Amino acid sequence: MRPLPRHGFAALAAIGVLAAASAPAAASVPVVAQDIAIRNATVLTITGAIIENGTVVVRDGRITAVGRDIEIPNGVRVIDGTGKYLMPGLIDAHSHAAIDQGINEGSESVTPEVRIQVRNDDPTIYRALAGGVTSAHLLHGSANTIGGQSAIIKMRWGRPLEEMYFEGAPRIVKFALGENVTRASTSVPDSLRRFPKSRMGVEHTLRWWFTEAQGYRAGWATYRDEGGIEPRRDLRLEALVDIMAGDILVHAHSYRADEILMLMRVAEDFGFRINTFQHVLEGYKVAEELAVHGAHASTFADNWAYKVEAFDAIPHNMAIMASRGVIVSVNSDSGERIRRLYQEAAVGMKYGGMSENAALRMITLNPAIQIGVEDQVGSIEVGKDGDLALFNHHPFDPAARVEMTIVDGIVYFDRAEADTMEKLLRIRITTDEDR
Amino acid sequence: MIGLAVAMLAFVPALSAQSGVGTEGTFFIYGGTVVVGNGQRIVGANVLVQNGRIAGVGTSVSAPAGSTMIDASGQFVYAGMIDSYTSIGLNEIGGINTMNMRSELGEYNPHMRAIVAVNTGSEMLGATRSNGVTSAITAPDGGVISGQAALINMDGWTWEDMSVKSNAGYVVNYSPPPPSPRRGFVRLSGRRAERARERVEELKAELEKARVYHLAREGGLEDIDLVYESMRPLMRGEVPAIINAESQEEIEGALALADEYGLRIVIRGGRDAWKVREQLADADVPVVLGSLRVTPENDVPYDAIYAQPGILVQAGVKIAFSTGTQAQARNVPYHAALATAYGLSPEDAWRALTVWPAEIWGVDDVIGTIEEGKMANLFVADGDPLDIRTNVTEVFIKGRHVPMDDRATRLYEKHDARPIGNR
Amino acid sequence: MVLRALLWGGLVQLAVTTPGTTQEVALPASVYALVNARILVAPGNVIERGTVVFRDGRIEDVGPGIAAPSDAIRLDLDGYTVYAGMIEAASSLGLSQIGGGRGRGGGRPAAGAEGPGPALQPFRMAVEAFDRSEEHLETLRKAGVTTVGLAFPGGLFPGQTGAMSTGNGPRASQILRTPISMQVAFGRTRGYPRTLMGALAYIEQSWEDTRYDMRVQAAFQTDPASSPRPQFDPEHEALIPAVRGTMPVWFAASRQRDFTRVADLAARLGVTDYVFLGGQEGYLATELLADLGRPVIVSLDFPDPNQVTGRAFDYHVAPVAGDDVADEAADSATARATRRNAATLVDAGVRIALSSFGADVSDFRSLVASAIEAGLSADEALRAVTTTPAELLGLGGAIGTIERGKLANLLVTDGDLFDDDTHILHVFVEGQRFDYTPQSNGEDDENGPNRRRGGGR
Repeated sequence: MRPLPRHGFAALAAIGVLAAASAPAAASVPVVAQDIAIRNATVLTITGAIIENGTVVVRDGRITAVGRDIEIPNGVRVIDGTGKYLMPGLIDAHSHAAIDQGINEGSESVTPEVRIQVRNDDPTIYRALAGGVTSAHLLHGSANTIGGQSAIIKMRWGRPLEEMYFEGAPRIVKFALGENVTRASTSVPDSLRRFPKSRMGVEHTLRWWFTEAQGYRAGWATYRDEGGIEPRRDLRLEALVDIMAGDILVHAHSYRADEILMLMRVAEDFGFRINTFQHVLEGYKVAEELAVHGAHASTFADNWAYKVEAFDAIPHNMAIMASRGVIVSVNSDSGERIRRLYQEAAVGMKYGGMSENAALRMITLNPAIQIGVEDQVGSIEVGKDGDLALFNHHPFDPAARVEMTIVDGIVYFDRAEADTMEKLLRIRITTDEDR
Repeated sequence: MIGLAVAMLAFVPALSAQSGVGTEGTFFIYGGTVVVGNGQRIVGANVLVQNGRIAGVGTSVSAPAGSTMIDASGQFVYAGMIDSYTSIGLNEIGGINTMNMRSELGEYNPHMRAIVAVNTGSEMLGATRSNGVTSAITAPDGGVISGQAALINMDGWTWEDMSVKSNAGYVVNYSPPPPSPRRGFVRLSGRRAERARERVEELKAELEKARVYHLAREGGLEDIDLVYESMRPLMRGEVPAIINAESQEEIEGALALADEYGLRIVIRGGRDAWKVREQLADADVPVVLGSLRVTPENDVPYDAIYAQPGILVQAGVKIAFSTGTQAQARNVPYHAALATAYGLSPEDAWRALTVWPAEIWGVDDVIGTIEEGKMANLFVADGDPLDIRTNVTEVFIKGRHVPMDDRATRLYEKHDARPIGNR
Repeated sequence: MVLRALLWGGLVQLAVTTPGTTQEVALPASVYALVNARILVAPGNVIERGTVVFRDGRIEDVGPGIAAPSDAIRLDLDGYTVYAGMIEAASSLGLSQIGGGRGRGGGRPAAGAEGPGPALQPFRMAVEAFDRSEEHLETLRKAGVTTVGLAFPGGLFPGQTGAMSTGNGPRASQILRTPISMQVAFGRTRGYPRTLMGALAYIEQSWEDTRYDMRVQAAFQTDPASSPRPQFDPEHEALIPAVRGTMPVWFAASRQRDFTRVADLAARLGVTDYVFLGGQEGYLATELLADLGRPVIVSLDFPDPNQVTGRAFDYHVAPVAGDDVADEAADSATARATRRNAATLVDAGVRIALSSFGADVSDFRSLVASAIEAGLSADEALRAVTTTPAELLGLGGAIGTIERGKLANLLVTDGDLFDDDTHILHVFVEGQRFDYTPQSNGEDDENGPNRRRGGGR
């Protein structure tokens, strides 16, 4: 659920929130939406039963009907889903695709005032659509203890910048812990290093800045009560105040169990919660604590040994955390994995025995919850956005591939229309139609 | 004895705690569907493993007395998979120099043998074999000629024990001189282009010297030069050069080099191999594909990487899959799976994980299929190995029954066992 | 040839600096009557045959049946055309590219105490920084530019724009207006900010910091006893007029997404009087630009078709056979669209000025010609290089048309100004006369820039 702005900052926050998530007031751009219906597919609704020979109808970008014997209104484009699988459009809770001119404002270690800028013409968006992804959470990088605010987009390939944003999505900020922040693998002399250099220093950085923010908040409270000269508005401290107020959700890049625990305790001390731990490869070691704190987890399916803090990473991570009640998603953090998130989710079934639906949730409803848009996407239910992915087989099947990807009822990817190697070389690679 | 072993285990730091080295014995794997690997599937068949070898396959094979019985009913028996390019045993954790000694100083190191540097204590071995990947090429890196890659099993007492082929190929990193300016191609500027040209000339000079040396040795020369001596199997055509080549220019350059010097070569990487598939097929040069888990360039269709295996096979090129690193080898069947979604047949996908790499590495009489007489590298699984949901239940390497635990399962068991509510 | 030209140049230089024989504006200026000329008074307002009289650098009279004053130097321009001198709204000629430099050490720990780098100098005046060499002035005049709006390329707060006449004489005598606007671009520094997002936050924070300084300064004036001590940071001081709204802001914006970004930023800052500088992909955002109603200084530095937003949307595939035809077709369609940019914006109702910002100003005429060829009407083109830039520079009453009281900034051509074959023969800058023979347009001047000629062919 999207947090409401606080009273004292209503005017300022409103500008901030609106400007981040919508077109400028003078030219509000309605999102283009359409009607479409998919007939006779196996529908993986995520929140309900699997519907064999099911039909889904989308009107004006919203799902209006889901079921077996649905009557499709006249004039609606019908896609034949016979033999195919329809699932909600996949959601990537951690991506750096489509970011314009800078992923890390790494010059300083705390920069929550900066906001990720979007580049709407990154071909990664198209390739993500070809992998069934319909929304993505674009995060600041992991160079800073506290980085900048995210952009959440829908993959509306070809649309101008102002139409890319996911309307109604909350503000989210990136924290980072561990080796990336401390630049552990560099061999720079201490005199040239940026603080912090150790995990201990990371904790201090956090406490120091939130203490400053408390002071800033107190200064404004005094001004509101007693008058005087309006204080200097500091965008950085203001963002930290908003974080403490819960108006900006925190997603924290983390690996080691000790730092995951540390951050939860720091947050609790300052009166807020970590919304989602990202990567969280040792999350399984503190699954209890995560569940009690109320933090979610967004992780890799099987990525380990690429640095020391990833050496205890296990593919069972997702299953263990889920079994303790943590809401888990699997993400890409790359332009490569975003193309096959459905493969990543299947790993949850193999290691630790997650159920099929629990595994599918990790790339649909769970990431939606983590980025605060679960009311709009993440499952196939009447009233939700018409964001859908149509597969040739079950998404976990080895020969699975996406045939069509739909956002707001508009087909943004259609393999039949796309440039493919077969078309390029004017050959048919496969002779077996029904594989 | 046991007490000593326990005491030693207590001493071993957590980082290197791994099991492995399977149990010796005679094993009778019964009742499963045996996927031989040559196209044959035998339902309700048995496999007898004895003295490290496959002693019998079929419905009429019976268990000798004292055999350990392995129930495979309802499951499938497969030949162990092969990852055809990794750094297993040479690299451990990324970013740690002392854990990554894969490349030597200098440009021309054909005499560097990866096999002797393979760490039998690597955690990667357990992680890899527990998903049915029983062998892998592990390769050195760096320079123009990096050294000799080795084909190793994912279990053994020593590297000697693990070795299937200690010299499987000479790793060559070939950078051809820049081509004439073409649309979309990045031109190397002045000095760099010059240097690239120089390197190619140097490589050719080295090959020439190696050839001259080899002929001289054949003719009775007694003065041994260890470096050129190490290249004689290449000169004799017994061992291929594994040429890392991605672009069309690089692959064509490699083919030209092979032609000029009469070398047997394998292309490794081959991102643009589809552009020269006819030449590859004509020259009978196989391609060890790089990881399919990469993004294509922006000027090719979105499915270029995924569709390539099928395209190459259709054109008559022999392919094998590889993951290229140390920690992803267990996922090599899922690279193959991606290819089957875009045109490669499941049968060919399986070949590219087993038989074809065995042929490429010259060990097809040893591994790659479940046939009598071959080394017993095989596994039992409850489904299609290309399906991520499938579980591998038994693994055999060199006829030993390998324990299925690895670093991940140990950590899983430990932390899954934490009582709920305990903080 | 070259020696001769140098000789002449040298002589001319001597002539200019030797007292008593110079062309300095300070001396009693000539009175000119340009008779029998075709006169483009203003876009859409042509006198087929008339006379322009100017005195002391000001236009005294213009019309069809005007008599030349007796003390006027008379140029018979039968067969020639007189235009108002072109106004380059945003030239970066003579201003160096603003690189990175040290950023502001905003947070803790503090960065170096040496002050901000070149990207953060909002107090810098373009008219002072302009390298006003003879070569640069000649380039501008030969391009037909009599008023140059000077704007810094790159940077974050690179400085403030200003306008100068392109005549000879001391710098101060040629400045027409300074400052005109505060430039804002999304450049980087080597410190903070290092990214686009950092630049945006930095700009917004600078605005807030300036506002705060203004509050404290005001409070200190009225009630110093209960006010903190004011700060006078040169960066903030320079920003005050822009923050207050008394000085317009020129935002650099070239790509489709830049316009959205700038509009968003302007809204956050509370800036309503702003201009887009660059506008090369404006044709991809006509609805937004029309809705916003802000002027665009359209650079004729056309982007590479391969780099234009939306090129990627084709997800184009280079055919294996090596045939680049399809690629080139797509490229040329895009190239056409980029050249048609100005026309597209005008059609959408956006107010534009044309500029060479980012390109070579000596190509100004041919760049405008390519915009006309791509669909911009001749009248609109003329408007975009005369009256509109005059207004954007705040000099709408002084330059841009040939009207009584305005500065005598004129071009004499032997044809349509934007025709390839046309030459500019005379340039008058505030009455200062510069002659260019047809060969001297772009070549060595054998006859000297100030050689008087008695009219005729």
